[in-house]
Amino acid sequence: MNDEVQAAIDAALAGHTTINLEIYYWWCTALMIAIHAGFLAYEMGASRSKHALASGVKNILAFAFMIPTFFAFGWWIYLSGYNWPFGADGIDLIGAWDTEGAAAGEPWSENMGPNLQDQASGVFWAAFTLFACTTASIYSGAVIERIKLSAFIITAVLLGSVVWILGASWGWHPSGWMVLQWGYRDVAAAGVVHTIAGFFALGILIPLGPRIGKYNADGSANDLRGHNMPLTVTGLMMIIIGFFGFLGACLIYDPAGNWVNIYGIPSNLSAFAFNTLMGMAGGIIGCYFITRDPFWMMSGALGGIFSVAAGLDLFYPPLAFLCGFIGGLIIPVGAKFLEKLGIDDAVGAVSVHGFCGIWGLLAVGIFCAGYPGVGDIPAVSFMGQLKGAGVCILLGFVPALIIGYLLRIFGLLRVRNEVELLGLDEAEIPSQSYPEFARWEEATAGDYDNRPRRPRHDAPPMPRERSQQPPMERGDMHRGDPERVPPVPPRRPS
Amino acid sequence: MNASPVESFEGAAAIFTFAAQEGVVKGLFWGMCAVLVLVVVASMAHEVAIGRKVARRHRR
Repeated sequence: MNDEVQAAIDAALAGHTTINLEIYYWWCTALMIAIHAGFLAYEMGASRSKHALASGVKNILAFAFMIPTFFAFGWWIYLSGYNWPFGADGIDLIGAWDTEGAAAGEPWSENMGPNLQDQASGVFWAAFTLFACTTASIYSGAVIERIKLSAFIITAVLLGSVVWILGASWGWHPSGWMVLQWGYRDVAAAGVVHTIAGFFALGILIPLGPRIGKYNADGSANDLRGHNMPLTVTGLMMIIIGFFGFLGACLIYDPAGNWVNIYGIPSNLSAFAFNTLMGMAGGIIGCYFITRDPFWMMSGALGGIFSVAAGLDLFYPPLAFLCGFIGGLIIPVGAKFLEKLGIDDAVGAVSVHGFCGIWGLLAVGIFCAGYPGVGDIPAVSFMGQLKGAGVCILLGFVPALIIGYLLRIFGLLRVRNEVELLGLDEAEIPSQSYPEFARWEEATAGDYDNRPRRPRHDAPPMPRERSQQPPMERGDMHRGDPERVPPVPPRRPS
Repeated sequence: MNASPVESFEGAAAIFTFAAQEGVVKGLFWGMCAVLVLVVVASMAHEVAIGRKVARRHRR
């Protein structure tokens, strides 16, 4: 009798565990959508008003293309690519894919759709799909205001459904070769999501070139501020809300009812809660210390989280604060450094995600070296983290650079100068972001950015007569050409 | 015609439409891929056309 009761209790508990797992990932996925709502607001606010809707369309389409392409091949790459390109006898580009092990991830598999016997594939696929969407959104902010929509879709699919997920298979999978050979530890994807996406953005930014008006003839940079800072910082706050779903989905609720991280190493949500908040606070304060600028402070909140993401379940919370603080210091310095190199990253994505991701990986190697793994996973080491960071940088940067130059050669990467000057919204979007302000904008015509500053390699500037140049507003003097005397701006019609 | 692969819930697993017919499932999958490619190509063509139009207007 007791055995029967015990068996019934065990069966009921197992059923509840399975259902809890489904519910948990369902709501983590729902929360992650806040990341995309945030990126939408953030990037639209960070664009000038003539490009605001085009930035939004780009973001919405990234989301829409990532889901079916991740269904088509992204999930399969994660399940099969953990050893690629290393086969049994060295490099084997074909045979290294684990096609048998990944059969459940084929798009026509019985697991890839409604299945009464499978309560895991759908929710895990959904969580990973939202991770993929996040990588595309990370990259999208860097290239606003001049990339062609079709080029963005192609590159975002390459990043979200191929590149990052291959990196995840190598370094965010219990059988990944980086994990088994180097003890690479990246519990909340600082490297495989943020570093890869950040350096992918850098790889596209080089062939894409800066926005017209970003640089003066002498190479000095202008500050092309977005049109709505409150929208931008609110979007950033929404991204942070969404990241609680992201980070939660980095844990696995195993059938025995225990929390383990993606490597199967014991962990729990409490550790994540301590260090996420402490890292975020450190990031905000680090950026405040350097810039006093709310845009960078909110970017610092994100950068602080990414700075502790790799060791989110390992750090002592004040250490997480300090790591976040250092991340917050890195962000504006890194963004300035890129700007001086002539790279126009409109929102600082390379710095926030790429540089902070690297710092987060190295921080685990510095502060958690020797922390054990389970099974065949070696202990954490600084060299393992350093090599892993190098792989993430190259995996993001090289494919992006190649596809960026290919698209540029065929004239498919960047919109024409005339379209950029007119505004992507006016040229391509059948609606207006602020229709009631259109007349005021026409009347003031204060868009000093219409004057090209520095020629792009693929698009020489269009010379304009002095009389044709748009007037500057008085407040724009510090951002314009210092040698140009601003004419009196036209009065707003009463 | 009964297209459902499930006639009873006893031991039922995959239940999505036409799951028993692999050819149909693959056809639907490649159909989805074709739509995605078509939309990207149409978007490219649209952007090229818009670019030319704006450049023409700008020259005038």
